[in-house]
Amino acid sequence: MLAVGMALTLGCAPAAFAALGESGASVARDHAAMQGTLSVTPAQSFDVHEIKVAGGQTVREYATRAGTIFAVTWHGTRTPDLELLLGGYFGRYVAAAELHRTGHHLVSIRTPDLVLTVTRFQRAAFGQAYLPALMPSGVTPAVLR
Amino acid sequence: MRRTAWIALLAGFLVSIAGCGGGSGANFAGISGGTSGGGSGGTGGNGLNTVPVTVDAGPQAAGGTVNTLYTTVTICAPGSTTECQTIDHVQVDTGSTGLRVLASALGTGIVPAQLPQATAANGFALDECAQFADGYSWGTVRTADLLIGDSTAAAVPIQVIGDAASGSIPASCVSGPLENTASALGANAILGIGNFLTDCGIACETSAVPGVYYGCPVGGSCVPVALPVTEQLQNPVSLFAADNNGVVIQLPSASAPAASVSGTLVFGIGTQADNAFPAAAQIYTVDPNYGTLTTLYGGGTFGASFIDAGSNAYFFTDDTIPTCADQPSFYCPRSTLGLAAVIQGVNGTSASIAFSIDDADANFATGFAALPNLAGPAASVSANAFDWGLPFFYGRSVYVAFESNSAAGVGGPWIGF
Repeated sequence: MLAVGMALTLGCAPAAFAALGESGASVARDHAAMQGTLSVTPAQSFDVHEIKVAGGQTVREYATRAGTIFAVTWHGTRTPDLELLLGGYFGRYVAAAELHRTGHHLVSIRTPDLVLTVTRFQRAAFGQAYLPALMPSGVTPAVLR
Repeated sequence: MRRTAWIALLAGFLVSIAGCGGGSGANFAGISGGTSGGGSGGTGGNGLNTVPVTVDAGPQAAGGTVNTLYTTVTICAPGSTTECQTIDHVQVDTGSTGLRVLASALGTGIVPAQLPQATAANGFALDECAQFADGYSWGTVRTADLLIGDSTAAAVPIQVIGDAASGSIPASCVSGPLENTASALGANAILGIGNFLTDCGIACETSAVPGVYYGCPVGGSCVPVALPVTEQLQNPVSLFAADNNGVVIQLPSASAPAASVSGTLVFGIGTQADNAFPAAAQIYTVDPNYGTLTTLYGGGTFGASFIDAGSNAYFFTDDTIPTCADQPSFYCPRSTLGLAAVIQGVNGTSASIAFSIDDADANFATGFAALPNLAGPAASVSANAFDWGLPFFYGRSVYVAFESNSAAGVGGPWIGF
């Protein structure tokens, strides 16, 4: 039972990783029911798709009502596939990382269109990326968990 | 992780259910003799428990690093005092555990093949992936004796990055840019002496976690493997015969950018006259699973903060401070800012820390390695980070107590200052 549940979870996971800035509404919602908790925050204009990965990782994708992913967060002991998660913004992370100016435990970018932090310290791996321009009105980064 | 990696994760999960792995428990410091693998007691004590450390521009190939702390480590074939090589510009890192050395830094005193390669439970050669925030390194796991200052640790599992004998890099290891050169790594090696005794811990003993340890068949694909903690990369200081419950990093003050800053790495806490825990210092316990603590700044609570010699600056959220037009990873305030934040341990002990930051572009333009006022942004969610990087260490003695050890009467893991 557990193994079957795991298989469903893992089989769905790649397709359900809608990338930052892109719309994965129908795909993400189809798989969210199988693999994680889809919670709709009342009185807010966004949905949170939570994906729990084996090993204690949690990835959250924040989507507008129209289905566009405006933020992603993760925490656990390993970094998720950022190429999948960041989509077209992955290159911005790589460019900052390749400078190797901040050390091996934190890479961060703050620009008007992208705010990103990747942290890998001792046994912790967590971070977030959001697109200020795509945040629903009235929504601030403080809602991200 | 890539699609194939997800499948590998499932495969690994099922394999671990079938019951591979297991093994002896953690190699606690202070137990002499040791078990097979995992290192064993070496020499030390009697006042010979220090090694010089320096902040400088780093190895030439790195093109000029900043706020990176270096020391020297001698690596020997197990049991030998002649088959050795001394490695300079080894980064002292309290944000990781284990010694990782570039294969390209070896080759004059010894070659990697003189260090026995470890094998996985499936009989295949053991390789390892080290995932960092700014990329990843890939190499073999080999066994070596380590000499740091006058202290030795014997039969220590280490990583040899970029070892020609390592298998093809598996997809589940890839995480950002590859860091298999001195230029990318900013050092010839990394000496991880953070709070933990092993680099992965029980999670990698009980299941084959992708992105860490791999069994690599000759001519085949590397597969994630579970690995007993005694066979994982070890905190070398924890394997010294004495002065092995933690470390102290002592750096002089740096009030302005400087070409270099020199200080001392002391082994042990409260074991000798030179590492006594001062009455004026406080102990801040850290999360026993992650090594993090809490910072209060600007009305916000940053519950996954950390004090880290391996970070190059202060990184924290403050949207009132402009980032640099040419580098969005650093702050460029128009004038020096005098700031304060509260560091709070899991045990509730807290202290207000005053610190200054100034224009990162001007700092880098000096060409100097020690930049005490360097800072940059970090995005914030409810459990995110205030990173107290190396600038925090200038003018302080910072005590790092290891897990499963008691130091100054308090069980680790903790940070003290």
